[in-house]
Amino acid sequence: MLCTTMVLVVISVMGGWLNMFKSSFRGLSGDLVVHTDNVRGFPFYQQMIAELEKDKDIQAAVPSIETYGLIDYGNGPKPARVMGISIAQMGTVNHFPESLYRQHTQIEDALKNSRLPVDQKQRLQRELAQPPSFDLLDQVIVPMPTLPAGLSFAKAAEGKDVPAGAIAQPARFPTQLQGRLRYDSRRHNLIFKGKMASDWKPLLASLSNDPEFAKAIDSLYEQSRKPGLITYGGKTSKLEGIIVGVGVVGIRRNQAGNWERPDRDVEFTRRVGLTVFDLTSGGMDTKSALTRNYVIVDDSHLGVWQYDNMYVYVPFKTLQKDLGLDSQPITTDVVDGKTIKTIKTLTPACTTDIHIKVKRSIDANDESQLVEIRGRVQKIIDRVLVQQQQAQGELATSAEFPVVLTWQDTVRVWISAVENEKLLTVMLFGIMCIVAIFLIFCIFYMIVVEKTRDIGIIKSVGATSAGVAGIFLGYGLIIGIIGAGLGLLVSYGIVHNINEMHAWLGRETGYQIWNPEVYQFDKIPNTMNVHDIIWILPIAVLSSVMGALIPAVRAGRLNPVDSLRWE
Amino acid sequence: MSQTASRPVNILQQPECAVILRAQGINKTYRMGDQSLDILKHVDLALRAGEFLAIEGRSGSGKSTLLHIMGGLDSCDSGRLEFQGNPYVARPPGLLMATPLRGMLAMPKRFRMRACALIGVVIMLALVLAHPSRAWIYPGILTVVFLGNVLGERGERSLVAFTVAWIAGGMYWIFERLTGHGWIGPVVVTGLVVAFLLYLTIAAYLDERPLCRLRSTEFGFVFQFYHLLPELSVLENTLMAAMVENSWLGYRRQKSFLTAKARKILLELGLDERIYHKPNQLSGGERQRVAIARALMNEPKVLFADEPTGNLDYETGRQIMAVLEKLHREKGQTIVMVTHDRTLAGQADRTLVLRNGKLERPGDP
Repeated sequence: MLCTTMVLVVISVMGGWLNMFKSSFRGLSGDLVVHTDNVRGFPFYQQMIAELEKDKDIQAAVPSIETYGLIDYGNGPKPARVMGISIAQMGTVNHFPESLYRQHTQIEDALKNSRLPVDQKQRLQRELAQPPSFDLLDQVIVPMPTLPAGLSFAKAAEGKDVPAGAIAQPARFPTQLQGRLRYDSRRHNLIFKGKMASDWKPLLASLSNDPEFAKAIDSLYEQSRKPGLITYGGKTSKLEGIIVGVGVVGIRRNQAGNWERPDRDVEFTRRVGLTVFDLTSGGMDTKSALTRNYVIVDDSHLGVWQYDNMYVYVPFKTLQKDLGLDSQPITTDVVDGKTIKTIKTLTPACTTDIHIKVKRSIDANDESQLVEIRGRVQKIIDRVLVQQQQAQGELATSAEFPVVLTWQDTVRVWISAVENEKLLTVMLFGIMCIVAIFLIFCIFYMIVVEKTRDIGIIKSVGATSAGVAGIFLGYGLIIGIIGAGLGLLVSYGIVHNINEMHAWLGRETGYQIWNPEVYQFDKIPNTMNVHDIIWILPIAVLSSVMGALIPAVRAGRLNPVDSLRWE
Repeated sequence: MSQTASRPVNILQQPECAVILRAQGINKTYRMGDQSLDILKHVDLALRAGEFLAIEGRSGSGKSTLLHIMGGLDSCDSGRLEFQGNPYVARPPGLLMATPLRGMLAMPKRFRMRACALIGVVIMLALVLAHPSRAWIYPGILTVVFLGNVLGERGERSLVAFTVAWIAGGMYWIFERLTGHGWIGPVVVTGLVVAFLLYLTIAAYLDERPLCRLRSTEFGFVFQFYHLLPELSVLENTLMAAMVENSWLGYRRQKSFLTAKARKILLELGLDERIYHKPNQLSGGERQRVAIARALMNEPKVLFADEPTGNLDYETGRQIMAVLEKLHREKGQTIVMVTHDRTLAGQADRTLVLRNGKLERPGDP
């Protein structure tokens, strides 16, 4: 029983880990990735994407830039990996948008509330369906209108002198506005939040049927068309948005295993400086460093420790420009006979990665199918590069040819390590199972020896050898079934509560076994694979029967006369 | 053939006496290392239906052995046994000693081993050709070990080897499965081996079944040391004979009928007050009566009693003898009793003396 439990728990955790690995690492890359390690990237990516999207098996292709940088969010610069993405398109090649808190997870959590009014639910679903963006358009700040009688906005309505910075309790707002409306008592403003916040007018109007109130809102709406009174968060900031991994802004797990999230309202709209290095000039000097201010618009939680703690995401174009990878005018001196001509041309824009999504008809988990497409993609890439270099002559830098990788290639090292570890654990627990078999064998052997005379008696009244052996085998079978059943129950309980148990252990003893930095994930996988159960349970039952087999055969082969004489 | 042995046969040639059990030329030798003891030397015996036969003999004369051989509990070295004209024989019991293998056992050992190894190699080669894989190491070794040893007379010990090979092979199989090697081969070979094992078991069962039926339905045994199951009550001990005789389902179906029958038998034996007691709460005489009740449960044609009074005091012994005599007299129960007591033997219809491995009529020198 314990053996079954252990094997099931270990296999579930390791298997779950493997699956999390596979799905999470895919969270950031497409099914296929055109990649170069060169930080200067490769040119002609637009032409490549155009060619790639003509292929019959390719759904979409999106460029991205990966580089290194320094991020400063108020307490000194720290290293970070910077990824420039075209965020609106990113969702077409991977599940990155699903990791965003403000634009996805938060809304999804709100939708889980079954008591949500239908209209609000539909609105949230519309919000969810929109592509993610780097904009902070959700922050709409409206001056407080005069409230009609009977409607109160927390402390403001109580007519008291509200201390500066106090925020009205969201719970006191009418339900349809909860979580979407905040009252800034210091400036006497209403702040609407959420992606649909620009639709604030009907939202506010729904609060009351009072004609006075409706009039006040109408006048507010009129004023909102002129600049000054109404502030839209994203537009007024004039800053580009940045998405950060949760760990980068200090959202971590505490000892008890719970998330410690700083106040979201403080974190979003916070300004951070990001320094990246323009290396196109050839060397690195102080001038190549470029610092730009961004405003945090969202955080991303992919579940992979190194992504969540190291990566920040910025708009593709901005990063491209900052790194000097966009097309820049250059002047070339051409000696034409005796005169020297200066020709002004543009360098081709570069990127470091192209993420490719294959069509649905292809199974992306089947590596052999991807490998076949990989070969085609590589040919297309090479052809485009050669063609364009010939067309543009010397202007094209002699960039390295990028390589094409399947998503499995990108995570191969990790996955093979985990697979080996899983195999090793299975072998280890297999050996423990053999010990269990030996134990059952010993116990049954003792029983047979002790019951020798009884076996003789039932044989003398006519029991067959097979019948006698069957008694012991049946006994072993029952033990096996009960043990495997109990093992299944216990392991189900353990696996499904493993994170809670781990948190409890952390609280009580201050000792954490699952180190997210080592295991890459911040929570222990807690799913059980039916396939694993199907092959482990019969083996557990069978090994119990195997343990009983030899004693049973011995019992069956006993000579009745000899066993009756047994003392 | 000795004269003494032929005499009972002559008696039984009288037409009104139907012979129910006939033993001819029974030999039995006990071997202890290089010493051997011929305990039975060409014993002939015929038992008439409805007869109370006593076999008298000193301790160690082989009278119990003769009884066991006649009752199908023990094997004899040579001779012929017939019950109601049908021959039966007790073989050394074995789960794997099915009839088809006995033929192989008759071969010289060297030849047998070679034949087995050859069969194993042929199977292995065939499978390697069908599906090349490194996984053949395991089933190959397994097959050769299995065929080479399990078929031999030391079936039990080779079963240990077989099990170890099975476990090792299973581990290897899991390893190969996880590392992405072929799996059809090991599964096929394991399947074949298991199927062969099942075949042997079933064949052995079918082989043994007629004798077991004979023991449970036609013969009843009463032993000197009662041999009751200590965990079961008197009633359950009596019912046990019926439990063994019937299938589980069949027993469940007629449980009430069988229980009533057992109660009736126990009542006749004067044990109706004791049916829920455990054997350790009974006196020796009562235990022996429970043993008789168990023997009578399946209405046997022949009741074998092996020193039924040997463990009892004189008075209790007489009571038991009275029970047996009553059975014989009122129901015409055929009884074969073995005893060393000449007085007890005198109460039987007919007495034979086993002396020096031969049956003689009493009074013969």
